[in-house]
Amino acid sequence: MAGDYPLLRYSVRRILQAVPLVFWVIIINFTIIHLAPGDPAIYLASVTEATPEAYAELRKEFGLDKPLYVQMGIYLWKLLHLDLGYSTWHNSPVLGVIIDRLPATMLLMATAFSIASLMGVVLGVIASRYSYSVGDHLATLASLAGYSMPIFWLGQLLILFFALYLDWLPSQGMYSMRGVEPGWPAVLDVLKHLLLPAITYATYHMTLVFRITRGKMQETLAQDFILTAKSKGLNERRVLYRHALRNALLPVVTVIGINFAYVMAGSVFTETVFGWPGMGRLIFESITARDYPMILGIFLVVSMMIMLANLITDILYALIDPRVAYN
Amino acid sequence: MTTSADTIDHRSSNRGPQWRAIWGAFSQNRAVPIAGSILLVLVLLVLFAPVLAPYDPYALGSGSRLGGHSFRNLMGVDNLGRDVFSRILWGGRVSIFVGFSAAFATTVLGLFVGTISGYLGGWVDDILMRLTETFMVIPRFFLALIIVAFFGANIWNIILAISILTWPVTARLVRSEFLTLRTRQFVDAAHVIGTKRSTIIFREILPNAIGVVVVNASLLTAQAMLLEAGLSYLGLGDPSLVTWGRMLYEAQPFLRQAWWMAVYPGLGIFLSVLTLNLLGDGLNDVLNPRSSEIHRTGL
Amino acid sequence: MERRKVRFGSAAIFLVLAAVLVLTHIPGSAWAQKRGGTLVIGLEADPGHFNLIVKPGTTVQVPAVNIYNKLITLDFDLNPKPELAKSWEVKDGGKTLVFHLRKGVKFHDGKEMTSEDVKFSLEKCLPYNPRSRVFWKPVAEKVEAPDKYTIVVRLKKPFAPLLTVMGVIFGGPAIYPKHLWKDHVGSRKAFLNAPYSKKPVGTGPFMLKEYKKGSHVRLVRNPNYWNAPKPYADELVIRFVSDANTRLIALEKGEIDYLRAALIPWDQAARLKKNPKLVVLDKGGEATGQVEFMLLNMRRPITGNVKVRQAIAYALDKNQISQLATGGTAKVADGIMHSAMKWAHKGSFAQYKQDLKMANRLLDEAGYPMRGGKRFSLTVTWAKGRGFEGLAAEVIKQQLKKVGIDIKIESFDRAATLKKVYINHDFDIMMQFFTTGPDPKISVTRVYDRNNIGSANFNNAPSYINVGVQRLLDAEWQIPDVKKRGAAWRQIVDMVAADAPVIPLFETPFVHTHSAKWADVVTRPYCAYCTREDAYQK
Repeated sequence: MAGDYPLLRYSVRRILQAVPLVFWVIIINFTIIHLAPGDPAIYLASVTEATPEAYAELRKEFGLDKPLYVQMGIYLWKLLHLDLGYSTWHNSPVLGVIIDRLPATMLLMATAFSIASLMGVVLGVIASRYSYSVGDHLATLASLAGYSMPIFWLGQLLILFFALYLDWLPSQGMYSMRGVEPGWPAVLDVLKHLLLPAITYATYHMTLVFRITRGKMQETLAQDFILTAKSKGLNERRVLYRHALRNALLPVVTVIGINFAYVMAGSVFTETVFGWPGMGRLIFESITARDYPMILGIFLVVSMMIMLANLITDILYALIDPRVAYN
Repeated sequence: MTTSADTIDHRSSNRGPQWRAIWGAFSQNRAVPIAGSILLVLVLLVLFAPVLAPYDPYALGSGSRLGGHSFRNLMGVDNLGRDVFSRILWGGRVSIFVGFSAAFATTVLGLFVGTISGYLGGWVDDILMRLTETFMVIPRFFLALIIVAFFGANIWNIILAISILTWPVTARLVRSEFLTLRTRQFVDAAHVIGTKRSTIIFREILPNAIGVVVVNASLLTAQAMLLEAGLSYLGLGDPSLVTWGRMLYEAQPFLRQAWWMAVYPGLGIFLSVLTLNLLGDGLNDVLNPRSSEIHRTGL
Repeated sequence: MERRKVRFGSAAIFLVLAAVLVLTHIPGSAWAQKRGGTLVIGLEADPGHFNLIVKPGTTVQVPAVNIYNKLITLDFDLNPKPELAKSWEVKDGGKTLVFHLRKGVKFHDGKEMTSEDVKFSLEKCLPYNPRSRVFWKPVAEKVEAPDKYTIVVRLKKPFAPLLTVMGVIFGGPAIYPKHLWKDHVGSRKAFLNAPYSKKPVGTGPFMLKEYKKGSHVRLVRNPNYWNAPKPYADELVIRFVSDANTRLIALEKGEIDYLRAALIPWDQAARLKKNPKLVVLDKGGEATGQVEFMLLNMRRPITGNVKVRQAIAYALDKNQISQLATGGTAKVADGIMHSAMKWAHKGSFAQYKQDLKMANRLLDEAGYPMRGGKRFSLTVTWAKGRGFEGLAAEVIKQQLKKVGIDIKIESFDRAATLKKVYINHDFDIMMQFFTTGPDPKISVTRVYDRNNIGSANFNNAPSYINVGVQRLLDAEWQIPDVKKRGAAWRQIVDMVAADAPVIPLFETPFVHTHSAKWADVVTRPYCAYCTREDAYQK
């Protein structure tokens, strides 16, 4: 078992390695964004139908009149002082806007992942228990169907059916605008709004967890020690669940950790379809509004979240499965 | 599903491109032939779109606006009076083309980086892996959005964006395959005989890595088709071409008036992605029996 | 006896109750507009802040117009009506305007609004408004506040459109409290960074209560509003929903009470009209009067040829374009401004009825003979965001194919498109949606003025130069008489129609849609962003 000391050393090393990575991420993003035709000034000027002078002033204010390397230098210098810049659209510090939006996305993700993990593991264990039965095949096919569907399409269908046709759930947003008292009714209200986007978001990941769990379980069940355990007359169900639950942790961690970048991608669609006030929509709105500081800020924050997720994944792997060595 | 020692032996002794194994997959896994034939039918249908489509997919007067199913218009008519059936055929052409092109581009790029990195090792490997890592931590989907949104939504930018999104995973996959294969006996043997490096790469290692690559490519195609649909949904599709993704996007406001506008392209995407996934799974079972689950990423 | 009394008493109560019931249900009676309810308005994006001074875009306007007041407003015929100014006089042949302010109007913080605040708003704020300064700067001389309730505006030259543009929020200034803003003036940045960008204080019917980023803005009734008993709604919620389909479903479900015309997919309007829970209007856009145009780049050899431009105009079937791109909801446009601006509008473009023979003949004459079913290729550009422009481009492509013009369609995001078209002039044909109100001097002139070819958004992108048109454009805005001014504009339309640097396609339908539970949601001719003080729950 890995002691605390190597784990700590490993983490510190990984974090140090991440520093140049972040630097390159910034450079790449900055260059690509600034090479594109058009800029935030022209977008803002179009919204307000501004004059040429106003447009020129905006360019100057945003520093877009300077050569690209100077702009980049200024940006990096500010970053060193932990200043992510000023959003051209929201006219607020970038970090503040991101922090405002992050909780909504986190809530959605956490709920979706809870659903996905729970359902995925349970179904996966059951399917592997009854391997190659009709039920198993059906579940496998259904799981494949789960990620063969465009996520926005699924969202739209759920809205049409549950919100419009059955009228059980709200179609969009995070809060009701009328007659909600603070306290429990407000919490309940958010939960009601949360359900459809969370299910939409969870479907893909649930099928993923299901498949990995099932595969891992089959692998484990075929291993000698299980066969030995069974032959010793141990309760089959107990064997299954003891090893299952341990092994089930890995797929869940893998799905959340390794796919974190894609998790963010899914949030763009889910949040757009359901009008959820989170990060996914923020990035899309910022792209539309050409809010360069905002875009760069989101890239940076999300990149760091991805790195953190990867690190945590690796550490968890090491903790769950001691055979995995740090490399 | 088949973890038989038989296949593993097969793999290390036969240095050909494992055609027999692939054939094996088709005969062992019931899903594979079914999926394969559905996919084949789809591909044939869209390939022969110019012959099969009753109308020009862009022509306006092919039926009455938002008209339903009829003998004239097998799958109904869309909001501009265009024939949905003809658009499905032509749109599938572009969708599947985007899927395969993006998968191809990604595979080539991934193979290139992965091969060099995995075989040469050393500082080259270091640099390339740093690059791959950098791209792994960039929110690549956001980057793809930016490329398509800022540089213009045409089909080439879309393919480029999807490739950027997916190549690092492929590169790492190929590299790890190379790292394991490099230490195999037959490669060592080749070294001992004095075979040239390039020969070892192309004759000895690549053919053995091809299984992973093929599986990966089939899944990539599926992913790329979903991504194209996703970009279209956000209004970032190519404005001059019909694709299934774009049809789906155009159908959204008419879901309750003309469901046929949405159901058929949705079905097209769903069927092709599903069959590609089934195919990938089936192939994986046979070609890479060691891994119980493919490293799968997607939306 | 006792018993009878009781009966009589209950009968009396019953009668009173009945009377109340009847009275409250007589439409239009003073009883009808009762207070109460939350009006939920859908908006496409988070405004970020409420600073009208420097960012008078729609997303800021929609909430901000309920927080601030202007001096005057407009009725549906675009005549100025009192708002904070209860009356006004035009003197010196249009060179001096005197406004008499309402007394006792209070800002949300309790301070009285006086001529000092108006002077401050006109002098210190308006020059930083990217829209208003276009016309304000060249004509304004000075603003005087002779007493607490009088404001005098002196102009360098008479400026006929002034009152009209002051009546709409993007033209006229909102009145800001001087005591709060006076230390935050002088630059765009200073204005933006002021705390009142995000915590606005005005004289308007509603006050900001809550701003939940990315989700909604909640405004509550201003209890001291000068125009009592307005506003009727207790609360106004402006909710950000970026996806068009989701927005529409929310409206149909009753989660949103009002969507402005621009947010209603026009090809859905016919379906919405059948929904008894909704009211689809046909008013409230007269002052903005938007028209969809094709702009033809006269710098390019092919589109520079007047015969080609005319041929394109003849080749198009505008009815079909409107039918397919907007479900027939939008009216075919026949002039360079919206027909709601009756005093200046002329339908000179009606001469271009679809006539393929004529189109073919003109193209032959222009020196582009048909070869193998094709004459030449052109590119149509449109900016992502307005779906109907993409649909229209698609229809145009098919229509022009018939006369041998091969159309390629390209589309970029808004910023990239604007850069390409207006700054680099790198386009053949651009699909452009123009506001043409409230006065053509503000919003029509810019497209045909030779001095405006430069490098800003929404300029003379076609690079159109016509000496006759120019002479009229330079003079018309100084004509005080509306009839004569209208005549000048009709002449301009005639000349532009002959040259066809632009081709108008269809006019914006005013299909503002609100829940049938509400009434009087739209009471101004610019009601994409007008006050909701009149809206009441039925």
